[in-house]
Amino acid sequence: MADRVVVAVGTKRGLFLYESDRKRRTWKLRGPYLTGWQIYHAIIDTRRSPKVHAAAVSDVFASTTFSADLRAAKFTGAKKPPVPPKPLPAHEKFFKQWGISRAPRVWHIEPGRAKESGVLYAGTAPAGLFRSADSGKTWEPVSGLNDHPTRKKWMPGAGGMCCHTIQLDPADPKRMYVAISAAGAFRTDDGGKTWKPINTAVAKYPGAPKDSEVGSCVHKLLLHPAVPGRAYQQNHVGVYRTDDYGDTWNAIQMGLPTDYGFGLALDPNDPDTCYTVPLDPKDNYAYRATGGQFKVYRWNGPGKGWTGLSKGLPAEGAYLNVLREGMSSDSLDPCGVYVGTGTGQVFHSSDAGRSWAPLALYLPPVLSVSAAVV
Amino acid sequence: MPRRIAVDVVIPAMLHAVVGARKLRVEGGTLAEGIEAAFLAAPVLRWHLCEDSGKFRPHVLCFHNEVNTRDMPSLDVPLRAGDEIVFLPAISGGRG
Repeated sequence: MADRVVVAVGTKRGLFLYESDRKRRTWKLRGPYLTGWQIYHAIIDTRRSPKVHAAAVSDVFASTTFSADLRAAKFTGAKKPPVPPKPLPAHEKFFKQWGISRAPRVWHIEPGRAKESGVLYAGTAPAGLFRSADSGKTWEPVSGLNDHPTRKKWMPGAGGMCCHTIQLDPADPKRMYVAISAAGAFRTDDGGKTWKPINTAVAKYPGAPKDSEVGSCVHKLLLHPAVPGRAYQQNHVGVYRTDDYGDTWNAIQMGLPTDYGFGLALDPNDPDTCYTVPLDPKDNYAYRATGGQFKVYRWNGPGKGWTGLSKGLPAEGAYLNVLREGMSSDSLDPCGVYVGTGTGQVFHSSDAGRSWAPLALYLPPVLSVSAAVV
Repeated sequence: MPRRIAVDVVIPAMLHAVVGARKLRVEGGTLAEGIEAAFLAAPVLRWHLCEDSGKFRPHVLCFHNEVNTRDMPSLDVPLRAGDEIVFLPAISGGRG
């Protein structure tokens, strides 16, 4: 039986690994690793012997991926990294107008299926999907998505134009999902050859292309592992749930202080819940959104609304924000929930959000949090 | 044609885990050939150090011994025994 919980925390200055036993009361720090690199996302790969994979960004060198055996944590960088697609002229104009980075970046890294132990996927900015068949040594573009016929209508957001979500359907080996800000969500049912935009009934961002299947600013999308076809998304303009593989979405944000947020986490034991941190769209902070009390919100299922979870979280003047990779959960029961902030704190709950405690308080700005039981 | 000389190429610390080494031993007659030999020995180095145009990225420095190549009129200078080619991140900026 797996007996350790590992939380990979990607920060603006390296990767930190925290480990605990199943009680999740005390945590031991390992690292930092990959110092100098901004770790946009890191994830624990529990297929066979546990590994850790990281999407790394630098202001000096090119963006790349790193992988290591979890125990030894001796990282190896890609020999042929993902090479993101070029920005379109309209994107260049947008980057210049708003002072947004145009640097190619590997944004997200995701293990493949259990039976494909060497397969990894990576999402990039400008938006692209890449596949590695050799545990991250070399990467190849998934042209079915990267050359998608709607690509000319994809637009960047304030962080660039990133493919930040890669989700593999646990039941169907040919079905997977990606989400791109600001284009929307896409699903393939044929192993990546073709991709269908799945944004019906999702509100578009202001100024989005009209009469198009794209134009949704999805911030994070997660599949529920226990219910086929069920997924949640935190969008720029709402929180949504689907029960039909993304063909249609239902808005569920009613009752939240704002529609806006980035992070998202699910309870593997309870398919009817999800967690998010509402932010004020004016400044990306939770302060005004929740009156100075930092709160995680849990949706309790249809007709049951949202519960603000604050026991143990900062109560006054908490100018905190949470980025799109900044929330995670583990698979224990009750599940652990983890939230990292842009000011270097990580808070965790070992009782499905009822109470919280600091896991780390003085890290560099947290870009990603990812938990696993190993 | 300059005689081919074996020289060390020093890899920036952030790229040790990418290249799998702290130094590369390469051969070349000129500094330009030594740099190109390093890129042949570890092709990923070119991706990390150079822009698409082939020029070094804005914050990447290349030294021939203690001379910044940005201050050299040409990279077609002969290599000598004991020379080092050193790649470094520039100490610059202050962003973030």
